[in-house]
Amino acid sequence: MSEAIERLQIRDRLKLETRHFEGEDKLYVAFDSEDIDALTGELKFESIRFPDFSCNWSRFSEPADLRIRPWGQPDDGCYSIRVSTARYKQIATPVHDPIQTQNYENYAHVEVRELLPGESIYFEPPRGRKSKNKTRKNLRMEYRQNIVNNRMTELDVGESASPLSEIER
Amino acid sequence: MTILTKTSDGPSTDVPSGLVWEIQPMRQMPSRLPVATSVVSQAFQSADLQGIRLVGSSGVALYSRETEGAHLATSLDAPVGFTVNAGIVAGIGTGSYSTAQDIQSGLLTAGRNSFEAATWILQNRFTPTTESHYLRRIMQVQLAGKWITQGIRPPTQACRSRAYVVWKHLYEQFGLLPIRVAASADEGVSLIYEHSNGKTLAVEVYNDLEVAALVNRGKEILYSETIDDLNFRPVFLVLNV
Repeated sequence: MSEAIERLQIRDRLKLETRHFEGEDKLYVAFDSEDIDALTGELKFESIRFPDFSCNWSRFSEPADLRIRPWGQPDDGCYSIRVSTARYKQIATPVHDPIQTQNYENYAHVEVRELLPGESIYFEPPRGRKSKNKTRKNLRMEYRQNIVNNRMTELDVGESASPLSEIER
Repeated sequence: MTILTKTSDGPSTDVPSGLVWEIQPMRQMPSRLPVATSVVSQAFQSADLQGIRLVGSSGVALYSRETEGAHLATSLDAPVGFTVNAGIVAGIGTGSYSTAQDIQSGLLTAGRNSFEAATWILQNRFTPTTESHYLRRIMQVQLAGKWITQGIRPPTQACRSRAYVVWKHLYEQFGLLPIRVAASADEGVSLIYEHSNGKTLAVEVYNDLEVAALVNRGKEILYSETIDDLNFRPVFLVLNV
């Protein structure tokens, strides 16, 4: 069995609370060549989804583990942001959201969800929330730009990594 | 009489592609316009004509790309002239304009009640290939398939139209041209600008037609705001200073 698949299995582990995220923990986010500006090589601001974007918690996964998610590609790239970045201006907070389906388990899965004004970063917002407040539009832009500004590349698109090698075997 | 002229180079009957022809009244008689009509017809057939603008006096557009449903004049023989739908010239008839009164009549039909028209000349005074290029890009941006499968909606037609208005405003008011036009994962159209001072400007027009802008330099967000009434002046100041 792939190390990655084994690593991501839930194995009776409990879903953790938002307070369990440490500011320095990393969140691994997948990207592909469409997300990269061909001229500059930079991540395109407009390709960042927010809110409700998916990532993997570094405490329970490796960057390349993203490649084995059901909708993933074996050459997907991976960048990371710190949890502190995901909590920028308390606009959003990461929520531990383990996935368990018949064919796929991912204990490391995290969804970054939008907070409303006044809500604590330790509150767990519901899935699918998207504020329609006009004043939030520019804040959402800020949030996404802050990700571009603070992301770290863990794996480039097509870069070889051990989980990929295992899959290919 | 030479009816078709170039503003700077003198008379010409060439019909360059990608033009928006500007039709301007001459200040003297005579009062017939057969050649002009013919030339415009040819232009439609042979060139990448983007539209027609009528100018009553210098800088005053009677009909423009924004004009809708305009119709000019009639001939002695049959309805002629051209109609403008949603800023794009839809067609042109054949025939000739006969008198200034015909033109005046057309103008009155279009809601203009005063015009000192005698006859018209065609001038290629402006060539807004830039407008047509970016209009096409905005209208053609596509949301990545992976976002669509995740339930994110692509930009609506109204959103794209609004984005073009925003693009045009930034171009005309501040001379800005985007380095990237794209569909946004936040459901709208993104216009990304880069200043020579290293700052970037991101403008997003959303499907609810609201607009927001952000100025960034390096790893620092300098400014972000929602935009009302196309008031980009504060944004431009931050970008430019």
